[in-house]
Amino acid sequence: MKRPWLIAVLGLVFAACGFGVFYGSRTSSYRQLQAQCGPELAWIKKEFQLNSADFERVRKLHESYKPVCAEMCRQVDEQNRELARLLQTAHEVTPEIDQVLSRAAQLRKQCQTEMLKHFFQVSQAMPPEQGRRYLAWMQAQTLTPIHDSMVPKMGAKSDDDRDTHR
Amino acid sequence: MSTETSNNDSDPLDELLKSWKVEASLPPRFQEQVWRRIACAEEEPAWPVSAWLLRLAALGANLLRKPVGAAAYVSVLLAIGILAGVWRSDHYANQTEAAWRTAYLQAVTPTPSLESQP
Repeated sequence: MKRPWLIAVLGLVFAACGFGVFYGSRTSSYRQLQAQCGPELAWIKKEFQLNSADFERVRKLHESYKPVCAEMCRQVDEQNRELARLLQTAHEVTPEIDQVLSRAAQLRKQCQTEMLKHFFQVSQAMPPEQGRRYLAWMQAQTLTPIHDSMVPKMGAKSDDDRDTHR
Repeated sequence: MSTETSNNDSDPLDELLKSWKVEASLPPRFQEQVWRRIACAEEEPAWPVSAWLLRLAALGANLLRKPVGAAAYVSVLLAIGILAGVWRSDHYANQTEAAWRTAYLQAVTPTPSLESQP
């Protein structure tokens, strides 16, 4: 009498084991990569199939660029705050607002220059084909007319990238 | 003859029963509730789920008693587990890659904080 119940439970155990083994084995590389590189660089390493030497070069470039990027973010924040303060009391474009907008435009240019420099450096640290793909993708994500502000299309994949990848 | 005799005789129990009067009052809508209960009891269940479940359980138990049936059952469940594992791991991979990509873009793009935007 106990045998059908035993087999029923055994089937469920097998199902759970099958799920656990396949889920665990297929996701372990992601967890391992994230633990090793952190989420930012894990994507670069996986997406562009970098070997250790290439990845190490990219990592160094990334680490040296991060403080530059953080400083630019701080300046952009500062400009935005100042502009917001001026706009609270203004009824027209005052010379002060004009000045802040000019500084913001200059800052945007500087940011984009620094960013592009970094993209070129990173692309050169990769194998040529992957470097070209990286550059095309980053430009599409950050310098499209729609996203003239420095906010990227988060998480989106370009059509070109879909075609060339895999 | 004997019945006539017995009918004519006055039984003390009969007298007692005749004199018995119920003084307790019935609860409100007592009759209606009684009839409703009778109707419920007589009504056929619209969907005899429990009967179907019992039949299914019996069928399953019979199947699992046979070696072929037991092997098939275990194999099917194992396959379901594996497929679910593959499906969920693909979902995890897509989600993780999207999160990594976003994190990288945020890290390399000077993005103004939301609080500072005019």
